[in-house]
This record gives sequence, structure tokens and C-alpha cells, in this order.
Amino acid sequence: MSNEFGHEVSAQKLRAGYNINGVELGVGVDIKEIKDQKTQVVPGLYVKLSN
Amino acid sequence: MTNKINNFVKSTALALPLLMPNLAQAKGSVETLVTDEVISMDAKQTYPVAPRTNVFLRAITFVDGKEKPSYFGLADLNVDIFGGLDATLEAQFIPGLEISPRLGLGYFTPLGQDAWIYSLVTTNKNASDLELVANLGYTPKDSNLEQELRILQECQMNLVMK
Repeated sequence: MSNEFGHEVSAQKLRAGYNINGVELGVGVDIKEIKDQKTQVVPGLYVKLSN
Repeated sequence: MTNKINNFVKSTALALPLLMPNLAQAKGSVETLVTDEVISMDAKQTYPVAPRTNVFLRAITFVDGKEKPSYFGLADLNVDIFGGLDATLEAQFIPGLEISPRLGLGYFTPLGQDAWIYSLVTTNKNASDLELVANLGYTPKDSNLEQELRILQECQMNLVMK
């Protein structure tokens, strides 16, 4: 999550997945920018369970 | 005063499950993202607690294998005002460290048949920062409801007011 109690920060969360019977599998990227710091770009794979 | 607010928020958070008579109507998800640097888990639950009123809980855990796991959570009480516009009372917290109560407005609207957008603007109790969360989702409708493509973009900005 981006809010760090007083830091200027922005975050993006991108997800693209395929849902089959409530189980979602896909690829994701988390991008986080904190003022005066290097931008973090973190790609990965995700699984999501939902009802 | 800050301690009293923190204790109130903690007590309310602990009592919330007791106020939820409709647990069968709860909606939720757990997402685990695995990268080469970190594993994150994002759990969300929404409970209706009264007509036009629901509670949204979110807990995020990060594990990177180098430092201790870190946690972030929030609890929202949302009251539907009209037409997708919500009044939101929010508590953001890092367990054991800090709680930040916030107040704001949220808005949900579908975009055509397959997409939707949800945005939430909140500020803290000192009005010293402004946070914007925007979610854009796209789920093309398919005649086969057991399988569907889902695309989500979540953008969040926290601006410190000088």
C-alpha cells in the first residue's frame, strides 16, 4: 500500500488474469514511487481466490 | 488525545465482527503476488452491516526474505449516500506502530457493459495530506460465466499538504 503516513508517494498495481470458478491466475506489476527515491517496478505472478 | 483516538479505533476494529450479522453475505478475496524480490498477500473483505452501509477490511503483508515481514491494513466504514457516492470513515494502520483515521468520499460507476471505476479521496484528521485511490477494472462479459478475463489497474497517490 502506498500511504506511509506523511510521505509523498504513489503506487500502481496492474493485474491481468483469467478467472476460472473463483480462482484467478495471472501476471501483475507493482510500481511504487516515493518522492526523491528510485522508482520500484516489481513484476510477478499472482493467484487470487475470491467468493 | 491521540492515544484516545487510537484506542477508540482499535476497540472499534475489534468489535466490528460482532456487529456483522450478515457474514454469509460477506464478499472477499485473497491475492498472493510472487516476484523475484518479494511475496505480497492482499486480503480484502466487505461486509454489509446495515442498509446502505458496509465495512471494508484490507490487510497487506510483504515478505522479502531479508527483513521482518511488514504489514499494512485499513478498515473502511462506507455509507451509500446516493447513486454510487459513499461517505467513508477510514482507519489505516501498521500493527503495533501507528493508526491514521481518515475521512473521505468514494464513488463507484460502471463504464459501459464491461468496465467500472471506483475512486476514493480521503484526508487525515489534521487535513495535512490528501490520498486518492482510483481503481479501473475491465471484465469482458462472456456467455460462459465460469471463465472470464479480468484486468485491473489500481492507482494510489498520497500528497502531503504543505
